[in-house]
Order: sequence, then structure tokens, then C-alpha cells
Amino acid sequence: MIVSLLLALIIGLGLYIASHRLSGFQLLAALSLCACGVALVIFPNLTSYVAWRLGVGRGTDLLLYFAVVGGMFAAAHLYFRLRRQETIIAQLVRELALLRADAARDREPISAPDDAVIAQKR
Amino acid sequence: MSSELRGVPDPGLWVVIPAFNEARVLGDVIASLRAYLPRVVVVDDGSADRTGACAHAAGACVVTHRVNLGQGAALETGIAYALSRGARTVCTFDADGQHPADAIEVLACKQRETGSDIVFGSRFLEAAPSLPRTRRLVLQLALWFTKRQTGLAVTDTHNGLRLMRADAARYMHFEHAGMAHASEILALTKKHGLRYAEAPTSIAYTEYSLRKGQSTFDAVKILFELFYAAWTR
Repeated sequence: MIVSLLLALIIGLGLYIASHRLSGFQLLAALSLCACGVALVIFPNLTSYVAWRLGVGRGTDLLLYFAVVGGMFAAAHLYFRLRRQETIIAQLVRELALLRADAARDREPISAPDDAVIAQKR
Repeated sequence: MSSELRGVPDPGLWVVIPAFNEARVLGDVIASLRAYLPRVVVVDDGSADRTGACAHAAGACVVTHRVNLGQGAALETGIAYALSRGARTVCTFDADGQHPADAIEVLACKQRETGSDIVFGSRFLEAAPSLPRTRRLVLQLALWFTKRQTGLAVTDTHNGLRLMRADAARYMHFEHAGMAHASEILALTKKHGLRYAEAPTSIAYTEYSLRKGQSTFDAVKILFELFYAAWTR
């Protein structure tokens, strides 16, 4: 029962990801992960076997280690992408602000107050 | 080349004021500046109140960020604007009334005396300003750290009042849009070998500016940003 549910979820996730426009590499990675998920659900002892070969205690421990490392990679990747995006946003906001300021200045009549103030002080 | 403040105003001198939600006092600040200097640009950093309108009404040029980017980004925008309008000297100035308008003249004098590329205002050059103790302690910690990092002998690292020649202003591009831009200015000064000097300024800690100014939490944030900036260098 739980097997069918998990399989349905994993395959559903795979289909959802694949339905977006992905590069070849991304598609391959996503489908490989799903295939692994399916394999682990059908053959639960697979993790134990791999863990034993690698010298790790239990299969679930192995899965946990991979999950933690994978999570940290994902977090770092997202963090740096966000920072890059913030920089880009700042540049765009600045460009827009300066463009509008120049446009507003062009619309206003030539303002003499600056020069008038200077002339007054002489 | 530049003129006495109380004589003929220097048309090449632009004052850049980054402002975020400062509608209450900004009008007065600009009015006091415009009595001496016609060239004032306010960067409205995504304010929710009437900061931009007040600045415009007081006679300043206004450049508006659609969203809040932080004081560093606002300064960079203001400097870019001033330079595009032909500024020969750029003075950064706080929007909340902490700085008196005639402080600019003190910095301009120092610049003429020393021929520096950039002059930093400092609260700590003269004796016993009215700086609250907790804030002074945290600022001195940031100062010690920045001195270690940048090697510059600067006594007041987080003073919004600075005067720089256009050549120096052209270098002012900040990676960190927030408050750590103050340290970035020092790092850029060192990096490009700019000649620098300090001039004394007094700061009026009005109740308004104390409430608005850097809380201890902000100061801790600055330290964190400094560490991060040093780490990623």
C-alpha cells in the first residue's frame, strides 16, 4: 500500500519537473533521481547493501548523509544566485531611477534658480 | 577653483543625500543647504512617505528608487547623478539633520588645504562630543576592525559626511548595498591610493535622529556585514 503511494508520488514529481522546460542535463539529473527513488522503494534493502559496501552503518544513515550534503549544496547554490539577482535588481532600479530623473528634468522648463542663486551671491 | 561657502557658491559642488522615509525633517535640511549651495540631489530610496515630494518642494533634484535598495545603493545612484550633471566635487550628507550645513565648508577647507581626493568627517577628532556611550563603544569596535582590514588611519568610519573630488567619486561602486558601504568606501580609498584627510564635525543628536539612527542592533548588523565582506574578499 505504502509502496504504491510512494511510487505514485515519485513518478508524479518526476512528471511535474519534466513538464517544465529543462536543459538536457537538468532533465537527466531529475529523471535519474526519480529512477533512484523508484528503485529504493521497490528494493528497500538496496540502501543497506550500498551502505554495507561503503562501510556505513545503516542504509537510512547513508540516505541521510547524502540528503544533508545535497541540501547544503542546494542552499549554497540558491544563496549565491539570490545575491546575484539582488545585484542585478539594484542595477536595474538605478538605471530606471536615473532615466526618469533625466526625463523629468527635460520636461521641466530650464530652471534658472540655480544660476539665480549664484548670481545673487556675487 | 572652489569658492568660499559664504561668498560665491561653488557650482561644481553637489550634495548627495540618500533618504528613506525622512519626510519629516528633509525639507528643513535641504532648505538650510540651499541657502549656501544650489546643487542638491536627494535619492529617494523607495520611501513610503512623502520624502520625494518634500525634497522636490524644497528645491532639490530628486532621483527615486522604486524599491528600497539600501543606503549604499542610494549613495551610488546619487553620485552617478551628480557626476552626470558635471559635478567636480561630491559631498555625501545625511538626511536626518544630524549634520549642520556649514560642516560642508569645514570639509571643503580641509580639501583645499591638503589637496586630498577625499575628506572624511569625524566626530572623534575633537573632545567629548555628545555621543551616547553604547553607540560609541560599538562604533569603536567597528573602527578597530576596519583599521585592521583597511589599514587606514580613520577615526570615524561611520560618518555620513564626506567630501570627494569627482575622480574619487567615480570609484564609488558598492557590492554591499546596505550599511557596510561605509567600510567599502575606506577599502576603495585604500585600493585606489586616494589621498585622504579628516575634518572635525559635530553631530546634533536630536531626539529624532537618535530614534532613527543606528540602533545597537543595526551596529551588530554592520559588524556582521564587515566580517562577511572581509571573508568574501
